Amino acid sequence: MRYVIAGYTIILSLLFLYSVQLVWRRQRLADGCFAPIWVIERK
Amino acid sequence: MNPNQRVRSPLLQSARARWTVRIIGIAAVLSTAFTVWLGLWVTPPDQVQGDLVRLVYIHPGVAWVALYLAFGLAAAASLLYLWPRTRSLFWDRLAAAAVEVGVVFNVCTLISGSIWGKPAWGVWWAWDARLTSTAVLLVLFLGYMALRRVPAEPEVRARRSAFLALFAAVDIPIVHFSVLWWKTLHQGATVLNPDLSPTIHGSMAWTLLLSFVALTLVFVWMLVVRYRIGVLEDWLGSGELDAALRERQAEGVAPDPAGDGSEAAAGAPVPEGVR
Repeated sequence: MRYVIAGYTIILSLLFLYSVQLVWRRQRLADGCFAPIWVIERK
Repeated sequence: MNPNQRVRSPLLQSARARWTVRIIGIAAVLSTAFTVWLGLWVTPPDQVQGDLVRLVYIHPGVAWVALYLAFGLAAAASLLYLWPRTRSLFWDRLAAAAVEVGVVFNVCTLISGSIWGKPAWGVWWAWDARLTSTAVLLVLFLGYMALRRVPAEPEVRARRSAFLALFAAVDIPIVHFSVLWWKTLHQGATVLNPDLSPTIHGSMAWTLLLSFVALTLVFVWMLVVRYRIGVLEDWLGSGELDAALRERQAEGVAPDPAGDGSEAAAGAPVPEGVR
């Protein structure tokens, strides 16, 4: 059973981490493109 | 010129599309959780493999997404890009998004297969036809991702990426039929076998089917988000952002009344579907 638990844990963790990374990338790019100009200058 | 117009695309428009993506995401999470519950606690152990069979509810599902959905879609989109009548950067971005998500699922396929292989075969890895051809597929599509990083005009990058995707896609049927063409450690197809008669039944079959649906939903959600990232990256990389920012500066944007940079306060609209 430990192989099964390891398999589920690793695969679901990988998919979750990739999803988080996708959302983070999209958010960062969207901020860079569409934030108001004074927000971009402040950064 | 309104810079917000630059990101118009079939996968970015309308509040309805945005809500559809959210609903797909929620459905993906719920169906995956349901699959895990059925797979670990409800379905019975196998007569031969015991509890190890529970890996069947995750390994074939990620393989299905990687090989058939992601890389298959990448090949189809690349073909549509190369076809003069349907040539559009939409297909190029879709292929790029599908490949990146497919690579993640391909890695998951190899890891979950390896974890299954150790107790079943006694080894983490064997130079078996199915395993090797799947690893070759991963390397080919990693090459695709590397090729896209080479600086070039969008059309040039799209054309050469499309050719590479089609070349790499030749390996997909090799992976699928490897268990029939060669003597392999890997078992033959359980569902998509030549007779199209699944050799699994009862609650195990339904849970397996659910795992396919759940992971397909996960793939669709990831694909759309990754596609949006591709659009934004192209937009930033093309230098249009600088031009747009200069225009906005020249227009004399109103100061932020709230002082917190909030778009609502300043009345600066964010294009629909991007956030």
